[in-house]
Amino acid sequence: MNTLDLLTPLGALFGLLPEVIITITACIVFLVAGWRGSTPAGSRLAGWISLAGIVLSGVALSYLWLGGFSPSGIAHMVALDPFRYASLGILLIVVGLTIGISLGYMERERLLAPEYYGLILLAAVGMMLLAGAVDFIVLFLGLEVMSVAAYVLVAFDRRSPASAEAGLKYFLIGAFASAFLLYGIALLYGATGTTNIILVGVQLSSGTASLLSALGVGMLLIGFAFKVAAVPFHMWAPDVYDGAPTPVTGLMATGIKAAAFLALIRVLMQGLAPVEALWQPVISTLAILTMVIGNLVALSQRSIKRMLAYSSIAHAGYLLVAVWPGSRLGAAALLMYLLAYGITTLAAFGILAMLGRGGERDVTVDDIAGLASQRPWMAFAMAICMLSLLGFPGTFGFIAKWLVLSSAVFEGQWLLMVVMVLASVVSAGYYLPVIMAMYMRDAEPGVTYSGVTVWGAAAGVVAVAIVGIILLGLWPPDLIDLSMESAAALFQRSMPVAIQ
Amino acid sequence: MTVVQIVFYVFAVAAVIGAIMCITQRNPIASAFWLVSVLMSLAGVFVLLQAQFIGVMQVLVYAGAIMVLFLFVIMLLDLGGKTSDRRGAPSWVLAVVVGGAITVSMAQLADYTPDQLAHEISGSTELNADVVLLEGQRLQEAIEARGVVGAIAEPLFGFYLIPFQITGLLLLTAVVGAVVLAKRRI
Repeated sequence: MNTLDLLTPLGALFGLLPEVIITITACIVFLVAGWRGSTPAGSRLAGWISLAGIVLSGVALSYLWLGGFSPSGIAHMVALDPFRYASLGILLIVVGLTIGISLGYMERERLLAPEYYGLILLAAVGMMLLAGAVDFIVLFLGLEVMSVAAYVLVAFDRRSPASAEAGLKYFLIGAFASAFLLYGIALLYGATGTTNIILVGVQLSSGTASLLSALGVGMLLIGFAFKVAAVPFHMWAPDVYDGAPTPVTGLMATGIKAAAFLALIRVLMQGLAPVEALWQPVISTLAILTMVIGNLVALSQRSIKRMLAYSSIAHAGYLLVAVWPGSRLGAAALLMYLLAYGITTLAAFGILAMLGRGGERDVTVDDIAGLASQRPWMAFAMAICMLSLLGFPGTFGFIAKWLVLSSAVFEGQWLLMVVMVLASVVSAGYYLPVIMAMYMRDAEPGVTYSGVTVWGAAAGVVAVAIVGIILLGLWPPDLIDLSMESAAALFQRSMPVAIQ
Repeated sequence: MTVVQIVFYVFAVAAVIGAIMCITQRNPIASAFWLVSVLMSLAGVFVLLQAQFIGVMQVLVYAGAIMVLFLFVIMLLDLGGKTSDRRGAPSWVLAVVVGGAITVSMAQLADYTPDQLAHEISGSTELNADVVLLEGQRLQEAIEARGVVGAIAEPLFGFYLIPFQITGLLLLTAVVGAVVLAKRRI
């Protein structure tokens, strides 16, 4: 067991090595942007450098994870525990897949500025800091780094009014949500005298829940609910997901949501566990509303991109079910679900990016009728994605959904379980028509899908994701064990120690 | 009432009046100037709290640099002449209801002493001195040993080194983002 002291510069450098590597890669990408300018070659070079940075960061992460590094004394600013390492692993996979999809997409859409990849990497650093923070200051700063990069990425296609509108909407709502979160943090600091999440937990367990801490918890939950687009704080999500360039939509629906959920569960398990009675009713209400409304509204969508946007709102509801029990199984289920949902959704957005042009806002279910006869592999991949999102047995999505359900059942929460099963049944009403259109209908006369462009990187991303969905759906035990082990780290109660 | 208290009330009332004027003015430039007066009054409160360094920084950075930027932006965008007419009756009703509810709930705090308030809202009878950060006596000692600036610098570049670095990263992200959005060609 190795220990690192994050208070020393060297310890901080090692403890944050994955984040530091990505930051340096982002700076190199900005140099490429200055050197090559907005050319196809420059954009491609920046993309491959970013992928290399992600891989290198993954190597550093596995060094930390396999070395079993832990903090000397109490965790300081950033956690050094298997849960953080697992979180970073999920985020790196998601960001890597996003960059893969972007590689040909940005060229096709003539969005050649290499800064795109640098901003994706900076957003990745923000996500990693957000997911790994054990201090509210780092949590907030990570959230802001992630959000500021995301505002720009959403509005990246400046020529499209929809993209610019989405960027402005996301910026205004995002700033509003950050203010709520910050106010919550300030109130919790006022109630406990510390910003360290573990020490907040120690303070809260020594007294009864007070007015100040209750207000703080409420504000914090509102801020998080905005960020994960839980109903009733979801109004911005469909327009923003719809208007953003498709790879960015993929990143927002997976990476940004995942980072916010990972931070939420750490705050709730490590900091706010003593005041469980305050937040559990809120989480269960949000979960039920999100599952019901997300799924019902998704039913009426014709555009596939918009349908996927509402489906991602519905999935936030399932994820909240995993957060509710506050148990080790719930945390493990959350990790599994984020991975399953992340790779499946990104594969679906990757296929959508290949199908359409000009932001893919107008690709409807009718437009892919008969795809299976013309492009059998693409149709097969899309069908696997839809089945996995639906939670069909044999796919990774099923395993993850089953874990989430059992985490709720073990705590005797039958209402959440029933709503979740019913919501999944409803979701078949919008996932299956996509498969039916591709396999059971003939293409419109004259449609040859000649506009479909397949580029190597995105095809590779989709292939890897599909293989992952099937393999992990058929043989999940190793991964379940790993996520249970990682989740255990959230429940080790540490004793308070003096800090200088 | 001591001199310090009198001075505090002068600054506090000035800050509250400035804040109300800032959000009720129709002309954005007038709002910006009222905001300057709020920030100046707050600087005075910081000095009363023995935080001279933060008070000076408040004047230099907020009341100085950032307000000049605000004024530049307002004047460049030429917002000065136009006023918004979108404040209809419904928003006033909503504001009165919400504001009234908050005022009523805060009125309950009227007969509390500061100590009582601190203990009651923080839930525990006493803050655990081992887990909270520098405050009170220990802060006084730090100021005596290293001066006002030193007492801020040491935690900033030591204990809070990681957040300090991330702040730099945040500024980098914002600068790159602004340049990308403002570029002639992407």
